[in-house]
Amino acid sequence: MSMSAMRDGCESKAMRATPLLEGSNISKVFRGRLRRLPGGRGECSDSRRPALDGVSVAVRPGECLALIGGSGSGKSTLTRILLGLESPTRGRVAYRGEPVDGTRSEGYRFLRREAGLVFQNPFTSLDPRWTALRTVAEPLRIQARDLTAQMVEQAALEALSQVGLDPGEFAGRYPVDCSGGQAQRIAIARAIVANPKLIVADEPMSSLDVLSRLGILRTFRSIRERSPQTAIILVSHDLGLVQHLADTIMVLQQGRVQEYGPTSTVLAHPSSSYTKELIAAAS
Amino acid sequence: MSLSIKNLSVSIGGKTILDQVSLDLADGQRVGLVGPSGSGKSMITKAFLGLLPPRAQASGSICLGGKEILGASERTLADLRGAYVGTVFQNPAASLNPVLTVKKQLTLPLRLHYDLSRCEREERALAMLDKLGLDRSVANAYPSQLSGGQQQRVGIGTALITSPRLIIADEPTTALDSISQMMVIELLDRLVDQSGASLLFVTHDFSVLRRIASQAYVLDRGKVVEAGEIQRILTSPQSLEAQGLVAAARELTLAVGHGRQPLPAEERTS
Repeated sequence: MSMSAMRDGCESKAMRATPLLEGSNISKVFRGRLRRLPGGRGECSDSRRPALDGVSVAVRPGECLALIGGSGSGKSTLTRILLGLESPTRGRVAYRGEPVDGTRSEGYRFLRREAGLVFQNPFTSLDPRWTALRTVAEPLRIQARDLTAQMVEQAALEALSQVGLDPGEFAGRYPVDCSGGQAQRIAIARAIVANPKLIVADEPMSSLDVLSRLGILRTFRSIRERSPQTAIILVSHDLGLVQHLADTIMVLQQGRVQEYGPTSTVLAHPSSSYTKELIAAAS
Repeated sequence: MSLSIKNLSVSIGGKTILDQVSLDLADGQRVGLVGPSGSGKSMITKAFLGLLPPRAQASGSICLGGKEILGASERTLADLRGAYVGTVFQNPAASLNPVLTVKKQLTLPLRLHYDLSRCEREERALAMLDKLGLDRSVANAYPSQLSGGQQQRVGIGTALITSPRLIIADEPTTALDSISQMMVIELLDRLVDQSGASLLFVTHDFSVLRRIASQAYVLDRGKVVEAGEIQRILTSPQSLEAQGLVAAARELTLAVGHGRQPLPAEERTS
């Protein structure tokens, strides 16, 4: 099945399914902070403008949601709140219908067990002293305590293979021995090794060159084909990167939703001038 | 200002970084250096800016405005850089001095290389802010108080304040979001046009390069693998490396542009 056909199918199925992760009416205001500058000058950041203002979002099993916006749009803050890493000033987050409200909440515990995270810079998100095998095996060592060491190693090697890295060549490598694209694939292998229900990737391609970006994009496509029930939240500033992958796009600007809908609709009929600018920038 | 590099080879610790690279940039021409990470494109700019690592061994020839500069003294290189070459770096947050205001940042090259009064320097800095599309109130701000896009505009202003004859832009958009990228490219395009200077634009992305340059050298693992008109490379890339870069740019570029020229289709040769 072609990727676009699969995506259309996913779009309609995803829209009908119950949300896996849902944020309702989320607002976030960071308290103003005085930044002392050389020469005794200082600037107080605007404490009144919310980083997020009444954002509602839902991602369903098998759906790929792209959160798009420029620097300071609130996309990373929204992602952190959805993952329970930050508390919203207002609004609520639920995972599998259970509230994500503090580290002891049921929703948070499910979420941390069932979500795989990929960060922007692989070299700061990977432990420089650990081999790829140890890094990828770590989530299984923590979560699947009933597995033997051999089973864990086997699963980690398979995950490396799934992201297009030869396990024989890469299992013993340290991050310093890898290119940016290879290191990011190790981070993706770590995110998928425990068969997550949700993958959250925060700007996974922005620190890489175009060839590595394309490689990572293809890796995500292959994950979608192999695990059609896995939901993905992909954070990016570039519509071009997500056009072939996302079922749904949410465009954020200064903490507010400018556009939220199926990828084809947002790209073909953007309603806000900001989305039009993003489309022009990616064209 | 013309730049001519002939058979430039650079090795560090016995490892070859650049291998017999030759490149020509005529006066007023805009040329792109394009290649993936690790292809050696930034090493070329470091070689003619005299910024190679101390352990690097270089051979070949680099002529800037007809003058051989490979192996020239630091004093000669500093004078050449200050008077004739302006460089825009990849990460504006790292290339701007965090303890200098925008005005001091912009006037520093003038203070170092030109005999101007303080008043004249400040006047030029304010005029440069106008050209950059930044409000004059930004003059007293520090880099940390600016957005990434604003920081890079100041970086461009610092590079262009001495009216250089050759502008080096080393991946100036990579650290920015897509809208800031577009604004920085449009600004650089306009300012280079107005100054008539030569431009060497370093990038990994053809979709960015096609907006600002007409010629390109494609690098891979320290070698020039293809050179020519960008339009020709986009439509019929000859080398495998250029084909990969063009295909990646094509796949990562939206095909539904509103009012912008899309990447040209690849020619079928079968």
